[in-house]
Amino acid sequence: MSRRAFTPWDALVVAALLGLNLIAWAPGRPGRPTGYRITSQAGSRTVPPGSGRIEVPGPLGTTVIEVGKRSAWIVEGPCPLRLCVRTGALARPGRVAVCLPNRVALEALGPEGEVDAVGR
Amino acid sequence: MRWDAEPTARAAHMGFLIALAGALQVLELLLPTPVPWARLGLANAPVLAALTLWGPGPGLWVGAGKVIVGALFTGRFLTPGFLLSAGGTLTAVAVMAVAVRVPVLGLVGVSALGAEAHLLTQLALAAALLRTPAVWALVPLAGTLALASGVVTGWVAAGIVRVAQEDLGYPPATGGNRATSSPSART
Amino acid sequence: MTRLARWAVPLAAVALVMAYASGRRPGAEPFTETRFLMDTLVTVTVWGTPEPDARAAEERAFAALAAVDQEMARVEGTPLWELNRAGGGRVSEALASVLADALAWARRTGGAFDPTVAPLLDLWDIPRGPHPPPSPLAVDAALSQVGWDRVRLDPGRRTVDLGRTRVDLGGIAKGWAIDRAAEALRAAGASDFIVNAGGDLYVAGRRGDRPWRVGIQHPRNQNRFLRVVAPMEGALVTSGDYERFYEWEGRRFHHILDPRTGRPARGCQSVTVWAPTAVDADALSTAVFVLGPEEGLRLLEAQPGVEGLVVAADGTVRETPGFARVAPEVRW
Repeated sequence: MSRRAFTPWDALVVAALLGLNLIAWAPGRPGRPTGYRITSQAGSRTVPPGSGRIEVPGPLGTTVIEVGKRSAWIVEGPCPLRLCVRTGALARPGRVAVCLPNRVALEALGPEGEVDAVGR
Repeated sequence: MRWDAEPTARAAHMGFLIALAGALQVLELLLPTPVPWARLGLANAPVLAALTLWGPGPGLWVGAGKVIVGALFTGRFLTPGFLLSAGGTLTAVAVMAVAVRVPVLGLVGVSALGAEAHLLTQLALAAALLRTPAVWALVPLAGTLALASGVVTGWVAAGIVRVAQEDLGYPPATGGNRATSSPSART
Repeated sequence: MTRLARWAVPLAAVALVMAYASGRRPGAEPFTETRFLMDTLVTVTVWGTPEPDARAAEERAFAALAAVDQEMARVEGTPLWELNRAGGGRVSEALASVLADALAWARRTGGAFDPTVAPLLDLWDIPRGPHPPPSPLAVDAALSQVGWDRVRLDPGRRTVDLGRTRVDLGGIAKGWAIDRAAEALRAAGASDFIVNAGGDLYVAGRRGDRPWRVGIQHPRNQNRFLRVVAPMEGALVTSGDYERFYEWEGRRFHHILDPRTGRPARGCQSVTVWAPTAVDADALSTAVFVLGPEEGLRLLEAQPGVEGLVVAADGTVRETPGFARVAPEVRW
């Protein structure tokens, strides 16, 4: 008998390896944000992805936030340093864009981000 | 025409497998792939065939031949890409040499184990070379692709083995029990 | 053996692997709450505590932070404001403790950390946004009012004489407040949490079956981490020239001022310090930033139990030998 190409145990080996690959994927892979939390002086609220343009009032004026399907970002704000706009789009849970002078924060939420906090 | 599994004939067959592996390694570069770094991995089929027919020593020879010949043809000899390829092949040969001795496993299972070992070694080397653990994020996608290519390679290797056994008269070996000395000692 | 029986064992094993893989899918989320406090965004994250308890614990942590804010912010009406106006007086236990820590670190860092930089901060006024930097004359005038060694503190009687300086605790009170918040969380029964005050962190315990992962911000690329680490229980505080800055005629003017020159410190892009307490990490990160990479790393290595990572002005990354031990890099 010549060497078999395929046996039931091969199915087991292939499935086990496939399982291993998928396990590596399941808990570790950072997902898309499942929602965004907008915090202002008035308090916090959570909006789903794809909410569109949101205007948030603050002590200096209005901060404009765009909540897209895959990411969200601060479009415009009345702050002098404009660090919030420079932050760019938040596409991973755990990322934050803040306008300190106008007291507006945008946080990407989700079960599994790359990180649990950003030291900065 | 029927060949005897004489040492000279065997050396010639091994040379053929090395050439085949090297050629496949180069030809694969021409095939379109879903992701740039993904390869079909068919060049591993001759390696596995040599392992099955003659055991670990010849398997390693064909593996080394594949890596070196392929790298020389593509001009990547001793580059980082060559190191990844060499490391991956070395581990794959070691893993498959052990797996091929497990009697219940078919060549597809052996090949799948080899492919996974090949990929994980490459990723480990890449992580060390690039000094970033981020490459591990590739495991799910690249691992699954490697597995698929391992299954295909296993079938192809089984085909080569069948030809060798039925047409060239090699005895139906189930493991590396026959080959104990390296081929160069015989030629 | 029948055909079915031969396949039974492998199939059962396949089913088991699949079940395990699906069981590992992420489910739980930590409980987080965010507020503006201490002129920054504060997020408290608690893992594994039932939500009502987590909420109560976070409430106590925020209360602790707010109490520090209301006492030590340089804003009209706070005790620190009054102390600066009067030039001295009797202070609360908390304020005396922070002042003592601040003066101790000023001494240990040879004045690289200096709590009396208030006149310089007011002069540069970085948060106001792009404007011409002050003249050398104005900087010298402000510098003449700076000097931690002129401050006299009697810790027993809790009396202070500022010696005609003005105190700003921005470089240390946040750290002290983070420590108080961590204490409050522990007292409320939480053991796995992160207190994050504008990127200055206290990290305790784990996130379920894995450690907490902390990304250290890349100082020049907002979308990148310099490194992702799993810090040991303790504080990880970063000072960076990208936190509050503006650019004027191609030069970057940021909020970390060198008390010796009176100008923004130029040696580093960012400094991250790990220490058992946030108050120490806070003061040290500022001091190391001011000292620059060489002297700064020497300072860190001379202090027991603290480690640090420095990005020099040219972008090169250097760290103390023990940093990888207290904040090992993690893969994700």
